[in-house]
Amino acid sequence: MGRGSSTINLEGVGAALRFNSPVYLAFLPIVVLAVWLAPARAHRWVLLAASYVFYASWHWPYLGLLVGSAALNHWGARWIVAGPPNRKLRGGCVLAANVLLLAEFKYLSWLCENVNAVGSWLGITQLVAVPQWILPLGISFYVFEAISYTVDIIRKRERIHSFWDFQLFIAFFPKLIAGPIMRAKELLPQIENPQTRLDSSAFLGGLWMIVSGLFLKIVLADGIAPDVDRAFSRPFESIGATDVYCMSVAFGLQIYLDFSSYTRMAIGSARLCGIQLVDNFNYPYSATSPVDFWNRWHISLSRWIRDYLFFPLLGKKATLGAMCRAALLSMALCGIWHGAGWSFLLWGLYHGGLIAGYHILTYRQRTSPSAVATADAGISPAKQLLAMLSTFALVSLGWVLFRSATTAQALGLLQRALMPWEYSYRALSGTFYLHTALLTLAIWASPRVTKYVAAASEAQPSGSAGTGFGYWLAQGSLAGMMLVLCLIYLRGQTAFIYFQF
Amino acid sequence: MSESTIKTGPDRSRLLIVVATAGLVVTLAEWGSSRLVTETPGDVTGQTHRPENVLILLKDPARLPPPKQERSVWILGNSHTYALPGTKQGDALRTDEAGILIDELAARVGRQFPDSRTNFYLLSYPNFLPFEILTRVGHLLQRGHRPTIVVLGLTWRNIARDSQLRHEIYAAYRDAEFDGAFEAMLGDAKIQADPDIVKEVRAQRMQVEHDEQIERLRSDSDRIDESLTTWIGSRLTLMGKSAELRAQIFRTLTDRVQRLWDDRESVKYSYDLVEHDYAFNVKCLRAVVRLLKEHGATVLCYYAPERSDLPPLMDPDRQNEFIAQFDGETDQLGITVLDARRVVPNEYWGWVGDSPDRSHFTEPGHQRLAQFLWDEALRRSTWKELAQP
Repeated sequence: MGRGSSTINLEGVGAALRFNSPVYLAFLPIVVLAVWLAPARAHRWVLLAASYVFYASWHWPYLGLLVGSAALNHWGARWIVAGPPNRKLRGGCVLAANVLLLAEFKYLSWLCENVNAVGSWLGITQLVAVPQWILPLGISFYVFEAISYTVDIIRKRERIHSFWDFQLFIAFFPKLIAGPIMRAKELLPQIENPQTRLDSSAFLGGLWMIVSGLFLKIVLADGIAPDVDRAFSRPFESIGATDVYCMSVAFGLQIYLDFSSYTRMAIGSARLCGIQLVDNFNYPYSATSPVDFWNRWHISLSRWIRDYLFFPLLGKKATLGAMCRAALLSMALCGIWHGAGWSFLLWGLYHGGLIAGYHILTYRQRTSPSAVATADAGISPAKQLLAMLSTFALVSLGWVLFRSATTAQALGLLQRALMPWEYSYRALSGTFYLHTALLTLAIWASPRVTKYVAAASEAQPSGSAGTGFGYWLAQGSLAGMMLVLCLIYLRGQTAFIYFQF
Repeated sequence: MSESTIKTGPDRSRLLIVVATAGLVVTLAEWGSSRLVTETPGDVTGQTHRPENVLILLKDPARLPPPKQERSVWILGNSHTYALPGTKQGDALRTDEAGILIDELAARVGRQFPDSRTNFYLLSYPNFLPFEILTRVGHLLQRGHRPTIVVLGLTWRNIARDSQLRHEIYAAYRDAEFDGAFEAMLGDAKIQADPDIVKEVRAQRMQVEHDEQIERLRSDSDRIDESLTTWIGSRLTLMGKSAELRAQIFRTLTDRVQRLWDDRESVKYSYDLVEHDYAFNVKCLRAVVRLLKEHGATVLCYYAPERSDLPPLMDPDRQNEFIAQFDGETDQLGITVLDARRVVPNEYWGWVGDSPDRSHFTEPGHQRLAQFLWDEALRRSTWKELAQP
């Protein structure tokens, strides 16, 4: 509420779509069983039927939109390759159709509201009627996949696939609602050449991803969510500067845990069906620069923005000015992709500004040969820690723009954060601070712990049941404990934050 | 290495061992939790036998009998009005026992006016916050209930602390008849509700509209999910009794943290006063009193008892400011305000788990409070309205 758009988010609706709901956890084994009982050539049909059931369980009329969008892009691709002289023009038409589809459902209401706001400022009431759409879940994700396919067709980097395989590429249920945003070359070959048998290693990997994802969502993300919601629902006038720091860090942790848990469960679900999805996260809060952050955060979106926006905007000459301009523009679009609202646009511009600033600070260093040699020698751990903490602080502050219900709230909170001497009081509870601090430390420790566990896993001689037994028991016990906590902390299934985008 | 990279062993035995171990852990946890969690008392309306005219409705005031001509006394406040602490360290809070404020007051009225037909309703709520009190009072008045006397216990912590609306009180806004009528009530010139309150009421109505929209759009899978969750909950203690287990985990963790770092004794007060919320809460209190007065009730407020052997939880200076301010408004509001902060001696307070209880006092404490309210109100002839048969 309060983000300004009349588009209705069906957050909290559509149990089957939420990976943390019992109905999904009953649906998935049925699909997995059906896939592996069916002959390999029938996998696509089982998965396509499951994907359609999955999407229709939320709001069946929009299944037509999903199928229609995929059909439009399939036939559009055929039309593009059919006429070489007009390839770019035809490609432009298909791309425009995709953009219009996204704009109509996601941005039209917001645009109308802003037109009316300007009208009311001029003394005219209700210039245009504001459409009351239900925002189709996953539209931002599947339209971006379709756009990337069309661009690759125009660039002759992709070929025409069968109609139903392409339908499955767009509709494949684990990644349909909130990604990862897949490329045709990553997913379609797996659909066309399905695995004939699921090996136990992939199966265990898939289960592990689902259980750990459930734990991250139910116990950690949903655990801090009520405190974050309460903090952001307070009038910002009552909030002190340190509260803003705590709230922004806490929301940063919440959205990371929420989204990365979704991705884990998506990857795990796909793996059980014999499909490998790309990963979306690589310890983003250990990033040492804004550019590094975007290489680790929502990776499938970042590389989409990089390949289909940043590089085309950069042009052939990568001057400093061009890089800054491209960063600002592409990140502004990245912001607005997340939602129709000024605060999202500001958030995108903020990150564009951070990336541009980083380019300005490091441009000379990266282009001078002596500096490159120094950089190759590596930076000291102290400098690395400083870079990580600065990046973390800057990224966290940006979440204020992202999470605030209104632009006024965002600016009010930022004002407090930037003027701590004026707002030195504290309004939030000490337990919220403690909770946030413990979670931050855990997230910072996780890359090292994972590295250690991976090393221990590598050390187990494969096939030697005697020496690996203790490790396997530990893994099973950990999974069991995570499941127990999930059962205890499942307080009604909450929607994933990224569902609304 | 990305986050999802995981090395898994090549053979099937690993899968079997990992899955079997995980299953065993869940089974053991289920077995352990079914022994750990015992039935906890829920609403106070449970087993204790009370006279017909004494009714306790904490969570669902919609169960209040339809408006009648008979006189009624309402008691509103936080859990100090109904809950009893443990008598020794380690004891849990008791919530379904006789001998609490409402019983004591009803007995005194019954003795003084044997022919009086008066109903006593306890409409309190845990940590009852002023906006919640206002909502509950408004809802009952809108439904035609007209209390004769309202005894309103004011706990400083709940006035100075945050302002929120919990789901059982928020449910009032789902009542289609209440929707709109409440805003009109608050808008009445005699009530003079602050615009912030009206804004908050409108926000709740918008939230109801949003919830209803979501409800309309719920799919079959949502309904299946609900049934499935209920079904699993009825068979698995880990899910069915998850609230109790979460509380147990929270208490254990808190105790552990406090053993390592206990700053409770050293702090002047544990919670900061939030200016905006405090100001809003005081506005709500005024609106509650005016609403009740406007609907013919005699309002008897009291500052709830406090124990003096523990450091205060909230800023005591600001509390004195509040009391001075509110006392100054009593004539204008037409109410009686009593100071009961030192009415219950320290020996009448008890324990909640391992900690001394700051909020609840034992049965003798309830008797003390009831006697104090009875005597003070008698001196002001407040009870006389209950005298007629």
